[in-house]
Amino acid sequence: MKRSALICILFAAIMLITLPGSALAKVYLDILSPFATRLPIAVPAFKNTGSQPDTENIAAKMATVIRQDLDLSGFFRVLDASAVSSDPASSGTTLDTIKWDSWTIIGAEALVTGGISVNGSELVAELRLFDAVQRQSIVGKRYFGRAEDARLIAHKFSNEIFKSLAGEQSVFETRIAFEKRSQGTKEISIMDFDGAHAETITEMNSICLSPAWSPDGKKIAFTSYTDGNPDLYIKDLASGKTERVSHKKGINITPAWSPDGRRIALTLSLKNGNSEIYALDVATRDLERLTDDPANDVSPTWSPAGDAIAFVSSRSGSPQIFMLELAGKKVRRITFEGSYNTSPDWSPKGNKIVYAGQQGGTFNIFVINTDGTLFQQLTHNQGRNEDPAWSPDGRYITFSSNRSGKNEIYIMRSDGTGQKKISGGAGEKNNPAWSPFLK
Amino acid sequence: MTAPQLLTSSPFSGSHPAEPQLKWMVVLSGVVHLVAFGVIMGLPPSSSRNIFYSPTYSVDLVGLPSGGAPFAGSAGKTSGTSAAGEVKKQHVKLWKGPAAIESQVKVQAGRSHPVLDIPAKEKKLAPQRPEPEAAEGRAAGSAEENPVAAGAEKTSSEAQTETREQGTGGGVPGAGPGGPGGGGAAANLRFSRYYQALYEKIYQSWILPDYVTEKEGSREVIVVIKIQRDGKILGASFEKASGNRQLDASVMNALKKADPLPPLPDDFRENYLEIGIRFIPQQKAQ
Repeated sequence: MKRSALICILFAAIMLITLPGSALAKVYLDILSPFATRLPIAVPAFKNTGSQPDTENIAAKMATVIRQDLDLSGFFRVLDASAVSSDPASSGTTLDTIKWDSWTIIGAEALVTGGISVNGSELVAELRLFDAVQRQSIVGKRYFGRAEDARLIAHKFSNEIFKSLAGEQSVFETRIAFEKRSQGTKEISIMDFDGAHAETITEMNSICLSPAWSPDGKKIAFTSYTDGNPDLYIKDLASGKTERVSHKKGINITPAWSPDGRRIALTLSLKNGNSEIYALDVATRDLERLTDDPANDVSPTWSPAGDAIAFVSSRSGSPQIFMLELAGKKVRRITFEGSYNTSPDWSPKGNKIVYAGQQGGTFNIFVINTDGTLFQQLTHNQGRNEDPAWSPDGRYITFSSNRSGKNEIYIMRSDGTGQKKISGGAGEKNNPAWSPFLK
Repeated sequence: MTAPQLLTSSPFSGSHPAEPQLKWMVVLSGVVHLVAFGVIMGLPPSSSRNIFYSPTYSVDLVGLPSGGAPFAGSAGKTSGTSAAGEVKKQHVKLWKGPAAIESQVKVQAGRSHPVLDIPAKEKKLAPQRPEPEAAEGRAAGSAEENPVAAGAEKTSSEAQTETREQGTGGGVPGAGPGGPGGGGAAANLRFSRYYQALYEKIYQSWILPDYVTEKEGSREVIVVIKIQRDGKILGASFEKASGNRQLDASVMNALKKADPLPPLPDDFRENYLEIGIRFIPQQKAQ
């Protein structure tokens, strides 16, 4: 009897413990994120907050520049803002004057507004970024500048948008240097990363080749035949001064600045015309020989740590990409696909090398991990694609292509998507070099 | 000796020596009946919460004690926060962005090399230059117009107790799908469909660009939401925030965009459903 009583109590106790317990157990729903979604962002036409009527053009242009920047980045889906605010004056630019519902309807998660006023030649731009779902302000800046700096201010705010959302700066304020041919000569030019503000920076009246940015973005090294021999020069962009830094017999070509900016790796042919890679100390002009092989070695590129270079060598028969560890002088072959691989550029993150490889009758851009794995083709026979170079954040690649009929400068994302011609105007353009982040 | 005693202690025997035991038995019987009565009467409201529904093919119900180890792997992680009684504070304001212009930038470009020699100066806007959209607008807006964000505050304490209890209650083994009074397979299926609908609506609202997923530490976010009968989200709070502001914001934005969710199934007897949603960012292969 006692036992059965105990069982009764035990049963009751179990009932008491388990039932409320199970009633409290919570259900969890797992949701895996969708892949590669782009943030829907609206950039409606900026408002003219001043009295000068022609400001509308500037305001429209600035909004367009920001839209193009965001679209090009590959992370945003720029919404058609015209569908909502046919009358930009009706929706405000500030947190409490924006007509939020119209942005919610088109699915905007972020909203950029701007108020522009021009007074004489002075331009004041108030630009803001909002979280359009939570209806909160993310960042707001007031810029003062000249009317002709409208594009620049727009790029600056594009950078601000990306910094606020992704926590890092993007390429919107960077520039690209390249060779531009005109009337029998080739000079070095630079333009904004989106192709605007192109200008020629050398006046050598000869063939100028292979521009290379110094890590601080203040100088460009290049090769010029102005004295008959392919010598190495450095152009100081602030002062405009050009200085010859290497004038060895034979070639002085394919410069690449070391990450600390103190040395330039270049190709010289000091002995019997055999080209080797050297490191030139920019201050002292001392030379250190880096490669030593009877085959030709050219086109060095530094690892971001500065402890290795990749270069092109024909030591295995055909031109291939090799890597040299500077401490141990150990050389390793990187590319095995294809019979002609050239123009390597080491990624800023250090794990990849982009290069141009001959394929069939043409050249295409390829990317390979520095350990030789994950070989990837980025261009697919749309013309002849050459001279690839990384953007400073490693997210984009610039290259030259003749797919439009003549050589122009293109940019694309590092996975090969979003290929876009950015240069225009007369003359063939080659050998683009992406600037570091410019301050 | 014992057998006769038991016999005599029978209530029908009416013999005197058994009286104390009889009293005891009556008391015991009373207690058991009371307990049983209490359990039966006390349960109806919570019995519906006792029903567990098996997951559909594309919905993972992590909290379900399905046969094996209940919530084993992830329970460690979540109850890590709940056992310590520390449900992470929800971020009502996701952005620390200002309502007003926060800084001014002077942009001046040189003629020949515009970008290269900008003496770009940034300075904080002086406080005496108030912007039209300063504080009041924001305070009013965030409380009334953001049910998801604002509601987070309300439910946070409840979520906290819930998770704590869950932590001590432990995985409740044996409570299989379709518990007592669950209405069986049909209800089960209806609820599976409901979870499926929830999944689809929230998944479709979730925007997560690669610049968020490629960041270190973007592992998962758990949000507890309370769904009203008509599907409206009454409140959402972080049970586990990722610490990555963009990821946390993307999740809250997804919920806000998905609001209202599909109405609760008719046979669900509660006034609202509380459910945990685990958002798991997937990284693009490098």
